[in-house]
Amino acid sequence: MERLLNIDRQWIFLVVVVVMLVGAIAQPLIPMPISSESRQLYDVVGAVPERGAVIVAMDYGPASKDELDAMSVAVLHHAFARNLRVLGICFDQQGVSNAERLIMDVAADSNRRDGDDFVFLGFQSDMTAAILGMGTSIKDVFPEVMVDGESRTTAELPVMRGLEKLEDIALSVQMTGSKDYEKWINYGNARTGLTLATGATGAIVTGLYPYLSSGQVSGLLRSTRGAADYERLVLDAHPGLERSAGRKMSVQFLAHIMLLVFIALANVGGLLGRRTAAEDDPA
Amino acid sequence: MRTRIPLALAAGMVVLMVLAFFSPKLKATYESPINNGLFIFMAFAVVPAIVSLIRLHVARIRRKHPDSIYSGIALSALFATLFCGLIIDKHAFNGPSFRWIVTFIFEPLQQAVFAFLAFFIVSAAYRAFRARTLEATLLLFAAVIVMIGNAILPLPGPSGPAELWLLTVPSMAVQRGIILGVALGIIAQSVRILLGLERGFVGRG
Repeated sequence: MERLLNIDRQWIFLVVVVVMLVGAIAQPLIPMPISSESRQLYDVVGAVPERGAVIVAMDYGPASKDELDAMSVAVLHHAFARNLRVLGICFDQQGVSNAERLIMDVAADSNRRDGDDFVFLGFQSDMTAAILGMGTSIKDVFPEVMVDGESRTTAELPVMRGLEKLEDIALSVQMTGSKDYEKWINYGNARTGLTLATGATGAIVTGLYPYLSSGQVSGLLRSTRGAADYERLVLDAHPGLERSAGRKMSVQFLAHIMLLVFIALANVGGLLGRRTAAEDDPA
Repeated sequence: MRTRIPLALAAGMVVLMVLAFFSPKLKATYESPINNGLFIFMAFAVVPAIVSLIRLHVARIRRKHPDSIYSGIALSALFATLFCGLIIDKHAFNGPSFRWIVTFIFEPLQQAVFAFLAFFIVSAAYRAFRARTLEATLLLFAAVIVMIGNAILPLPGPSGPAELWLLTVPSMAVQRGIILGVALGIIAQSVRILLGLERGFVGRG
């Protein structure tokens, strides 16, 4: 009983390592149904007309990369497969390199041309001011961009034809691990009517449900599970996407079971301890 | 005078931004320059941050602080990154050597630090999730249902999956309360700035 309550931390850490390693090589044991929020996001991307413009905002740094990269890749793959114009942005200064690399890699796999079919607008230092500014003029906020390694004027790019401000954008999908989603909602959706969808880490996703319910957010990817759902939906219609989050679901499956076992051990130990104490001291 | 001018400027900006929200003409005239001003302010904010960082670590090294080795590493990393970005990459946005530092040093380090969380979360959950009181038991049940429904097994709930019911009914009700409370707080704070009652940002309590 005492042992159940006082498992040494080193044994817990060892079990975590073993479970992670087994999960990395195993297949998901029970297929989970596709969540309604993930399907909503898939449908909202699917509703954008061909050559419509979509902002993919990869507003996260390396800490959230493992959770959110799979979402970014799946959304980019879906958008390129549907022949949509993509404007990539990153409002997290620690994630700019990663965001640029992701959009370039997925575009190369989808045979999309930089400047014609997509552009990476880059980073601006103040997210609130940038979103407010994009409501008036996207080209003023990002006057110059790098296209094929050369600095070009944003206004001259074919991909920006007819795209002056946020009202001209059909959809913005933001991936984030922070409360920054509120800035897109407050200044993008509320002020210009921009249709928003969000992919969020497990730590912050609960804060997005009120906005999903009110319609201010039109679709939501919930952590690795949401990314895995989205991958499945995209793969069914547009093959060629490499599964990333789907493979991680086996780790999630085993890690959650391990967590429940540890919680159960602690509670059984606690219950038995209280019972023994009550029998020893009936008064 | 030292406080009145900043307070008047802040109040004036609040009035201007509120009016610009309702007037397309004011919005078209003032919003873009104000936004550009904010970008410039943010860029300037980097300068005191770097100066402060250098002063702190140089002082530590001079005092021969026991952890001065880490100060040396921090300063070396700062100057090496600056050198790569400004000299080798010639100010280019996300140039190759800067990108190499980010991809092969910064990102793996950040990910490694974040990965430690997996270990500590399991250890903390084992020690903290114990049904000692009614509230703790309710929290425990909610967490178990969300964990099972999210990654292990679909669980039926009152309307759809059980974990989704928890997220969209009880949790959302609380979230809405928090959002409304924060919004009211922001409005109150803005009115205080407008009236000159909020003086913390000019160094007066």
